Amino acid sequence: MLLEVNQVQMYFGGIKALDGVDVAIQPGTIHAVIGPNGSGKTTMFNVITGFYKPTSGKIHFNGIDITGEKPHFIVEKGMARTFQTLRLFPHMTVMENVVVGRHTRIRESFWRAAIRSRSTIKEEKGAYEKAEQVLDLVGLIDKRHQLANSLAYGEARLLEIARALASDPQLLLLDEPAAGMNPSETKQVMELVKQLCQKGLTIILVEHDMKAVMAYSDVVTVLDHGKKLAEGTPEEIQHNEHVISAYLGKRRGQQHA
Amino acid sequence: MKDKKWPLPVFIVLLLFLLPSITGHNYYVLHVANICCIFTILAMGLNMLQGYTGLVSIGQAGFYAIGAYISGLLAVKLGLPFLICLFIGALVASIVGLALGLTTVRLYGGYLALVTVGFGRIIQLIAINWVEMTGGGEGLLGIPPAKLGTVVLTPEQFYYFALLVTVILFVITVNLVNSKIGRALIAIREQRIAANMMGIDVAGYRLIAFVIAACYSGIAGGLYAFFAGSLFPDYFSLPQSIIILIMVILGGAGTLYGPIIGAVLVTIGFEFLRPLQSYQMIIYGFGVVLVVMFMPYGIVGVARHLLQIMQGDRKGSETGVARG
Repeated sequence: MLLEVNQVQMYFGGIKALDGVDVAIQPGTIHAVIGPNGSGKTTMFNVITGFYKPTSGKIHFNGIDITGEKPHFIVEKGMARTFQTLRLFPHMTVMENVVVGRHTRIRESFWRAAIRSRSTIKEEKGAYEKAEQVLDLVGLIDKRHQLANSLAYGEARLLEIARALASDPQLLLLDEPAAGMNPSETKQVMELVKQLCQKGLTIILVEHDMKAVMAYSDVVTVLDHGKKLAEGTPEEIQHNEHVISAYLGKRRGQQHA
Repeated sequence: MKDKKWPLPVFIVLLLFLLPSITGHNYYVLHVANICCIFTILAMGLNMLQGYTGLVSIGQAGFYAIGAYISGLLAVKLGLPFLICLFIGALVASIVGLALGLTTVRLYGGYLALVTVGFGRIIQLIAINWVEMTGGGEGLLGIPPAKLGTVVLTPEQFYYFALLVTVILFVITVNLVNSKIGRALIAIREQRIAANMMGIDVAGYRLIAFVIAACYSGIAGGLYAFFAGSLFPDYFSLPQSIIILIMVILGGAGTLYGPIIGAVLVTIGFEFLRPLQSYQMIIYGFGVVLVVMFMPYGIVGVARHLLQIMQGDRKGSETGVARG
């Protein structure tokens, strides 16, 4: 298992955003996490990536206990994520945004940077080359000198992914990568995700577009009210009674008075 | 920063080194030029904090005072050599910067600004009240002239030295801004949460910015102590901190040349507007309001914009404004 989430609880005062969730992520898969609004999907991302310290429970990544570690530590261990709302660096160029994503892989000390030593120049060159590769992969290479805030919405979402990829992650967490996109843009993003997975990257995906989730993911986990409601292949999930009732409500005959 | 961009700065530096000869070794020009160097260093330091990292400090006069008093006291009381005084002054300022950075690690915006105001005031009060050490309001007098080895520096040689220090610090600033470190600072300013998720230790890099700003101010303070020969607490006041801030904002916060342009313009402006006495702060106040409202990247921002229009780049999007 690449990532193991064991009995994780996350309470905000009296609110149980996550209430004992177990998830195990197989390497090389696209693992979707779905659930109604407020079911704890983004909270789970924030707990896994170290933004929140879980109230209880354990998280192991690649066999390392990362419970309660800071995000910058976890990123260095090979995890990267994108955000549900755009969080680009607006006044940096597209290229610079991606190079910032490379941060943890650049070996530069303060003093060497201050005198711009030969090794610093080499590291910088390497970082920019890597950024070019990543931008080429997501199809933004022509926009590399533009400011990030001049990008169209769909391009900005791709840049978020490119920036996350720049750190050479093993595990990529995508928080609603297709939010606000039209069907053809959604398809473009999901094809990119599939391509990344084929290259050996493991992906956890929060997404509301059910068509995309069912078409592209290997495993689907359904959260509801902070608890795991169901887990399985897309087909299994589509026919699961609990899932259907969580999303659509219960049949009239089954409802309590 | 590509290499082809260097000839113009190199030319300007050469011109500055020739300044005493060009102006016929005029003492007044030398005096103003020295002050320009000192304030350029102060503004470059604050620019790291305010311009690149987005953390407002209105207490830089505090670090300036620490550098000045530590260097001055070491020279007066212990008779240590000039360079060692300068070094220890900068070191102590840096350590205090680290301490202030550590205690304010969770503060942003106005809250941080207020703490720095308080910090500047505390340092000034220490300078006023610790009379046995600092001389209090009577001033710390009799700082010996700067000596390199056994050579006592003439005002002209002191200017060359101050200019050299300024140039070295500028080159270090350029290198840092164009490295992983500068990018991390800018990323923190632009989007703190995303910066954290890119693996940037936000708290750690904040500290780096604080220490750089404090260290530069400490060096400026040491230079000032030996330049002025005497130190008075009144000089290291809140208005002094605000003037440093004005220099950064006017020239262009978060740009490489902005602080230099701001420091030189404001320093020379003070000389020209001297007859107006205290009314000059009103003019600077208005200036800052206008700059903040209409020129977010200061004079450098406007110049860059004009340059882009001249080159026919209507979108003006070919350079990262974040850089400078």
